[in-house]
Amino acid sequence: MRQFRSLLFACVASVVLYICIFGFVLARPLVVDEVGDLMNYKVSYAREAQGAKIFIIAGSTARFSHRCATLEELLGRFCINAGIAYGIGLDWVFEKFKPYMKPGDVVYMPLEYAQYSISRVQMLTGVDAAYRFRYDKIGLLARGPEGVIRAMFSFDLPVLINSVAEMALQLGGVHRRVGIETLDKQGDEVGHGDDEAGPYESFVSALPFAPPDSRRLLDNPQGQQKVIGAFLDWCRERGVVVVGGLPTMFNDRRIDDAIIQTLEEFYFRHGASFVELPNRSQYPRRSFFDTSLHLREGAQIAHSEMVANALRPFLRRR
Amino acid sequence: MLFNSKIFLFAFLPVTLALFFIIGRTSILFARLWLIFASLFFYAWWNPPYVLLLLASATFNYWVGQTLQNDGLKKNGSRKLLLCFGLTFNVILLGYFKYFSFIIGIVTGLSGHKAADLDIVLPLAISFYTFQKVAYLVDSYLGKINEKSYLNYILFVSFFPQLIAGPIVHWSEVFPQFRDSRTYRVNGENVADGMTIFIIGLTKKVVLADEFARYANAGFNSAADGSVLTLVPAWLAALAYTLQLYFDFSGYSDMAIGLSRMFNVILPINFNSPYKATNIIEFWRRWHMTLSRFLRDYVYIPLGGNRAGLARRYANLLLTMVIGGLWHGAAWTFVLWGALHGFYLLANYGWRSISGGIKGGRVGVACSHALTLSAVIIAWVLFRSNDAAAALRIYEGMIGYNGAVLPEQILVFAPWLRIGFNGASSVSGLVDSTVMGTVVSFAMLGVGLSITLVAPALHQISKPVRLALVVISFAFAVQKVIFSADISPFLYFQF
Repeated sequence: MRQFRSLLFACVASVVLYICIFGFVLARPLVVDEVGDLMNYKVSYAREAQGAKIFIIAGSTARFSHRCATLEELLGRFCINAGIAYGIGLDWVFEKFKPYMKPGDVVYMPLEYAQYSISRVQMLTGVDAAYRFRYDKIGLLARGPEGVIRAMFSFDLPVLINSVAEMALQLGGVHRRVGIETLDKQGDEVGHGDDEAGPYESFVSALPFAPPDSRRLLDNPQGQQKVIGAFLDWCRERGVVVVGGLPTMFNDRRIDDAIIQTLEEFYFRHGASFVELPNRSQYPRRSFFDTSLHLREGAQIAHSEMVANALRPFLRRR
Repeated sequence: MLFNSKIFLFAFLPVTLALFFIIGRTSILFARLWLIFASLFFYAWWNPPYVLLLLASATFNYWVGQTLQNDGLKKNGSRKLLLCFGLTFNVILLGYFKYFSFIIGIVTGLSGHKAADLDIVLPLAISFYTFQKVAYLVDSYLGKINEKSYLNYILFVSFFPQLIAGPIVHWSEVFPQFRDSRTYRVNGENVADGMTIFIIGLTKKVVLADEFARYANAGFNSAADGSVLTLVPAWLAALAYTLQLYFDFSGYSDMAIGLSRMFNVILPINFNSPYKATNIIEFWRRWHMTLSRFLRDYVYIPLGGNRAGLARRYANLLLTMVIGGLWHGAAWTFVLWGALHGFYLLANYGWRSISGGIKGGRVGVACSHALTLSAVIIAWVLFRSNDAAAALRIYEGMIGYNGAVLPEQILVFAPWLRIGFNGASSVSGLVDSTVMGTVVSFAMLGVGLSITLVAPALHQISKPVRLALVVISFAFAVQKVIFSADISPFLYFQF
């Protein structure tokens, strides 16, 4: 029995050590910690904005390809760009911004196509899970026991190495090329113009054109899609107007009608609206910054003007 | 059923182990029957009909073995004929399932005729269990085995810890342990030791090998697609595969040894820090040791070994290594890999005879080590590549024929690298072109190389140190097995 006890003790010690290291000691200042900083920054603007609001909710396509400052100027409403990055659980985003949503507010959701088919497990182990396990353990409890355990065990050996490397780089004064310092007060990414896009030009031109498959678009109905649906229902019950939209993409080929129809049906089913811009949010590759989801600044502003015009009919007095 | 799957870890293993000891308290016979049933169930999980093939092949070999052990037959010369018959049967069986499509491909290639595609599914573990049965027949012929029980033979053949990918064991190593009544009683020390070894093996597989697989696959798949590989991705892929294969197969062997230990059966070790070898002869004494032993005892020595002059000895050595290569798979790349190792061995023996065992001191040992490891890495490229053309593309990259290119992002971050490298927006064969992705790739290689080149082999480590390894690794293994999206099979399952 002594050997068993020793082995059991070693196994328990291993799990305790793992939790302590990832929960209290190591951090990822350049990738994960930034998520929390960005979220707090954006939420603080939502808190400060007293009056009717527009929220843009998506991953990084919201942040890079949409400009709330333009919408504020054209529509005369506060606008919060809630986009941070694809892969952050939308349940966390909704949870953070819901307290600031009032009847008559408009939520525009140009979600990346893949957001609709993210599985529950993927959602519970996104980059925000690592952040919350490290810095917001109490808040993480909202995800239930499964969410807590999955967040706890979302760290592998490469993450350990990444953490050590990022902490060392931070000590050496290294910062990411984008972050809070490249956001405007509404939370829009700014300064990613033609000059800054130069180094990525050949990379962007070589990226594959990967339109979504309408038959797979709504896979995993029990995953993040369910969370999105519940959020739309919540908005409908409280008089918050939700308008679905399309994320930006290359215009190599026009997005299929079947995709638009599938998305429209999804939003309509939950009492929300849907807008499709004349160009289906598709642009030439030269309009993009570093991926197919990030427009360059000039195109970002032009796209936001089109979005503003499309959202105008949905604005009403509180 | 994979050793790293949840169904195995949380259902099959605990139930099989518990019932084996519960039944063993009252009946050794029924405990053996239970273990046979569980082992066949384990095998059938992959493809049930092939259990019949396993049993038919075992039954035939049992019959031949029994006849060879028969005293009456020992007196006349027909024993050799019977042995040849038995061996031929095994070779034909293996040949049909493993090499028939390959041979048809060669024949149709030479004749210019196109043959219909053959849809022959390679039965899991057929290479391993065929070798084990060949050893049984030869040992029966040599009078080393005297076992009448069919049940015992089936247990030897099907014992699930070593059924799929070895270690390749001899009857005399395993069966005496099953005859011991103490095997059927719980031995806490063995169960705890076995679990410890199993956990360490599991970590090697799911934490290390599967991670290196990502880097290796990126490079080798690019080469297979016809992409040009430059210096860094080519070396990254070759080194990553070198580490993947070691951690995957030695991890599997540790798990097999650990599982067997839980059942109070000691299996032979299969790896002894092979990448620490300072020459190729030593490498083959440390890598897949039970296969090397089989090839020596049942191929090289019967071919004449070193008993018929130097030229014949070298020819035997070369042929043995080609057979060893072909055993791994029906493809020219495996033949070339075996032949390359054969030439390495010839060169090694030749050097020994010329140099007369010159000692080069520490520098000499370091140079020998570096040379041996480089030779092994170069050979693994052939082993992993889909075809010779893909291997050639990796070799071109490794010698810098296609230049030295790094992602532009990295050169922006570290401009001093521009001295030796050009920048590109995307580099073919790299799993991640970001700065952090590249840092992690190289750090992982550093971790892998440190373990393989510095750390002692598992069997040389004391129990307290093994427990310390469990403390370091168990949670990472849990993370991969329970919370990771997918599990990958062991590389040697394909052989």
